[in-house]
Amino acid sequence: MRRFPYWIALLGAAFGGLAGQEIPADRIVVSLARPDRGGTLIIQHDKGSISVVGSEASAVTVEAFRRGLSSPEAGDPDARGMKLIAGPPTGLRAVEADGTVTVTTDGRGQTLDLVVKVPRDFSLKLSTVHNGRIDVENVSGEMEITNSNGDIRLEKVAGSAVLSTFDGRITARFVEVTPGAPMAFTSVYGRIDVAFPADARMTVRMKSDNGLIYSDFGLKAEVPQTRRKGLTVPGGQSLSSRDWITARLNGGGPETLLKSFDGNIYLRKTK
Amino acid sequence: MRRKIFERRMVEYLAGEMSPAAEADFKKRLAAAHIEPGLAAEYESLLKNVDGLACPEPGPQMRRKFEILLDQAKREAALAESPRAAVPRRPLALRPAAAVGLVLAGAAIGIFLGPLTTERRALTGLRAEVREMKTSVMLMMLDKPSASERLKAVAISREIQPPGDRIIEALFATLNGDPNVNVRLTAVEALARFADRPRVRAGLVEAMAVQDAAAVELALADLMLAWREKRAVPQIDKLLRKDDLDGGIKRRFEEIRARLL
Repeated sequence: MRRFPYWIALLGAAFGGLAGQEIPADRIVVSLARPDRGGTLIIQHDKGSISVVGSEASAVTVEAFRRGLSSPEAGDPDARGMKLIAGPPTGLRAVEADGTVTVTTDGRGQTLDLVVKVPRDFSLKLSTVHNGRIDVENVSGEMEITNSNGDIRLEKVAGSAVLSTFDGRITARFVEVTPGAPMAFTSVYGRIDVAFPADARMTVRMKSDNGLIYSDFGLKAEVPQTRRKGLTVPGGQSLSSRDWITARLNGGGPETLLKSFDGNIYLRKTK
Repeated sequence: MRRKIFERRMVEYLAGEMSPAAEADFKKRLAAAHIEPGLAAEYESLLKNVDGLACPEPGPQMRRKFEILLDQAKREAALAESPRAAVPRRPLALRPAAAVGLVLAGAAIGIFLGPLTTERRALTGLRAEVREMKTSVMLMMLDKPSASERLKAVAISREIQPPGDRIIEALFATLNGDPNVNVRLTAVEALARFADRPRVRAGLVEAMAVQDAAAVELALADLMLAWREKRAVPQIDKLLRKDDLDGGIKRRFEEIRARLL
């Protein structure tokens, strides 16, 4: 029972975090003329996170939350214990044309976190620059995501992805991949952790200048001559080299690029 | 449909790029335009089959003749190298016989190879057509808004052998102008295969000056180091003068610069 107070504290912190985001500063619902045809969501964000969740809904719902003004981390002690109730306009707009929904904000320097619900079959073209992370869950489509200074996380996604970040981490869990579609994942400083279905056919090319490369695919790596001896880890194997490593999963297929300068690379099977 | 548009649509159709509606419309127009009925099928089989075509294997007869010729050539070479040692060992009477044999073998091979050469010429023509078509598909795909499609285009460029100027130019345009870091990185990789072309080397050195993503700058700098390309030093100096240069990347550039000098 000694742990009980610790759990209470954790729950309290989680609730506190959520409480700050209970009521969106702005909310727009975009109905789609032909939701059965899928669509594309485009967001070029400047400051804040983007979270996209696939659902059974046939409309796109966009919510913008102001972040941080009342949180202790924001360094506004005068606001402690109080609820944020108003602020400058978010400038949130969402325009639909031919199945493509383009979301823009004009937050006047505010950090705005965007939470978007889309139909499950939807392609995404997302980017943010400062102060945020990008999360995608339960979406099937083509994903092109750039987060200059933060993490990118894809959970239970299907389709294909082209992701890049400067110092963030990349995590991607695919339940299905589009046959024939090339993919690419690059981070300069962050680690790259991707999981593909065990039967995915692709040719993976991997390189980390200063990191290690791990895989549980039991892959046959075509390692160049300059290969250094790798370490063995329980339940997997480790390969390390300053050159590109090419691995053909299930006989090979379209190219998937995993490239990091300083981070480790983990290529795993989706569990 | 004008010819250019027709060709573009055809390439899209064959590459499976068309939406179902556009495909139906295209087929309808194809039927209505009184285009030679077999043309679409021909294009399709061309695209599908040419990669799988193998050069006909020379038969045993040709191989035997070739070996005879080879033996003779070897003997002639040995004779030419050490005439004094070789001449006394070979009766003079054999020389005309060898000469006649050579002529006969040559004639036989000429007759045998005749039809093959025609076939080969046809194959070469076919390959050139396919190369041209693949180039068109690649250039079209590089203009697509989807990064995944543009990655595919760069991958196609690797299959086109030898790549013409249009492909090299398109890869440079991608490296210096594509909005996606990953696409630019794959363009570096694709161009890196042409270390022996001075224009490509010079282009890659210049490209260092116009990049704004650290990942691409690092890939180019690594390439310069691998090629021992000293002309890259002034470009690396420029990168090192950037105000917002990250510490770790700065150290890597300095290391590469020192090793190039």
